[in-house]
Amino acid sequence: MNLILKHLPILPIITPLFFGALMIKFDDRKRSLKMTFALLSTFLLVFYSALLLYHFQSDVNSGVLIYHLGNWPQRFGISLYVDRLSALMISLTSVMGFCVFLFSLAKWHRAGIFFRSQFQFLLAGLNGAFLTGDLFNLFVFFEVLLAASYGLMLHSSNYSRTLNGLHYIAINLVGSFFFLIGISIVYSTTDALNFIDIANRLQDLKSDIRSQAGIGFAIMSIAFLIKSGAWPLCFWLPNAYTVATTPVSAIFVIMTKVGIYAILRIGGLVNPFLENISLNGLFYIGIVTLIYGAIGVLASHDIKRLATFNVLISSGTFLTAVGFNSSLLLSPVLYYLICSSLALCGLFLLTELVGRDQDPGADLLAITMEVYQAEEGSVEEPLEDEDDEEEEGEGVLIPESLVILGICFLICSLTLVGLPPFAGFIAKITLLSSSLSLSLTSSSQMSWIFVTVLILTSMCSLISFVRTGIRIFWPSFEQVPPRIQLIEIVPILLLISAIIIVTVQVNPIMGYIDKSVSELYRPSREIDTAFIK
Amino acid sequence: MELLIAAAISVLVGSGVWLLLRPRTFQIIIGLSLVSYGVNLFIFTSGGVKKFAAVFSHGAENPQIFADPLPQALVLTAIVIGFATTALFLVVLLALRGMSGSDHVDGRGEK
Repeated sequence: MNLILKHLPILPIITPLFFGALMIKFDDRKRSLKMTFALLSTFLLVFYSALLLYHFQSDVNSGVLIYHLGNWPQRFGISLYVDRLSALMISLTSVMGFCVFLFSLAKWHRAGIFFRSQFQFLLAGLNGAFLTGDLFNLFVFFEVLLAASYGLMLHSSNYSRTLNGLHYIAINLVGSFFFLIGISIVYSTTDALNFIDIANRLQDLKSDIRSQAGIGFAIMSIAFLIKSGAWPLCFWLPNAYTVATTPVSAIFVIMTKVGIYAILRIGGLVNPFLENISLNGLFYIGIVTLIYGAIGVLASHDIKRLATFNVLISSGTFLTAVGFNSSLLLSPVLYYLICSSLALCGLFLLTELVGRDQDPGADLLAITMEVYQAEEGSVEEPLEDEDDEEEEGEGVLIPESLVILGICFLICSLTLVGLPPFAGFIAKITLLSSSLSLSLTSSSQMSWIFVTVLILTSMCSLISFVRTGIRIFWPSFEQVPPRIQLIEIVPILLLISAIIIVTVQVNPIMGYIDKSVSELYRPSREIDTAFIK
Repeated sequence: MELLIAAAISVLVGSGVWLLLRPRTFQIIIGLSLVSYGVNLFIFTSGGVKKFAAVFSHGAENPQIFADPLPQALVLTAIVIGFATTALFLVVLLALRGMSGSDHVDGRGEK
């Protein structure tokens, strides 16, 4: 146990890497063994993140854990940098990873040989990106998670997945080039790659060199904005997320959050020293992203497409709030990030289940039924047989599936729209109130734009959710209730209970987030290095 | 020396970007490779341009004469990662070519 605590920062990266590599060794006939490994790994990640959260919750003073890989001193080696924000993101990733993997056990994990390994590598890359304290290492972990995501994007590949996968790979490769250019500009101006070193050196630089470093950070953030789906760089996102398989698009929700995290982390470290570069540009990008997301939500008839545009709305809200450059708005928006990620993940998982009775084949059958006036039973039977074949007759089916799905859909959409009584409401109301209180002191124009656009976007998304809900859950004809296995509904229920926990425990969570925000904007010279040997 | 390297980077990236904006998948992959060469050269110069400087020479004490070794390590990593992702892109490109029968990036257009 002591050993685990000592090496806690590295474990969330090593564990999935190890199990992912181990699973490649076994062929697909040992499916249950591989399944056990993957489940063990995702469960261990949840355990580690609970330990990390407990560490930060119980320890009032210790701010940051710095873990020197190979015990190289700060200037020479790569270090991991864990503070409250990274612990929070790790926990979000592991909870979502666990639920999504559980869901994929119903059938999707059988669609490709390397799905489980790629999933583990994706988790390793995500955790690495959240934990690293080194700029180039951040790039490497971005590539690890992207490489895994390329494989997952093409999982169970068909024509549209390959087509959109090609676009996805191309645009992310271009993004990586921007990242590399940014890193080398920053290195040539500051002679450092470690976050803390960079911040310390920026303070001592002459102002013209410092603005050169600022250009480096700006170029680098293009890569982050591509990942987070900010407006002019987001046209790949709705298509890619819509055509990917259900568990893949559900875990891809956290991938947009990596871009957001990187913006926060780098912005928090360097922003105090770059007086001529401001985050205000993000405000306008975020507003346009919100508007684009709102239009997209109204235009989408497919429930999965609706969910992807909600990903854009979530990113847009975040970017806008960061663009205010005030720590007042950061805490509510981080809370919003948690609840919206959980709800989006749940919604993506739901899309497949509610779509099961809505697939074009079923509609077609209904029409032919009317035309040929066939008996109901004779037409429905082949459909059920098809389903049986697909699911291989395994698993426990749950009764009253449409009712349960309806309630889950309702909770997820209420959270995303921001209506009471769930966490989304608390998040949005605190966002609105803090931006209005900000308008009393400064930047009142920005606050009013933000309030207007946020409320209008929520309304668009509400209209769209209501429309979709009516179409799916108030069917006009006698339809077959979707056949849903227990293993498919349990992860969604887990995510929903996580949303409820986040709602009920709002006080301690907000306290935690407030502390992590104040850490983020602390001058880096004050960072006490809780040195782990 | 600086002028030569700057010219090389600009030619590589310029032609790479032009190819990236073309509609054929093969042009895209060549464009991506050219841009990545340009970016790798750019990383290489971030340690400062020095003529005939070794990373380390035995017996020498003045660090001024050494080249900065870190960008060389970075560029090596970047080359490996770029190579791997380009290879993956090639596979997807061929799969799309097989599925759509066309090498257009949107899978349509004249064959």
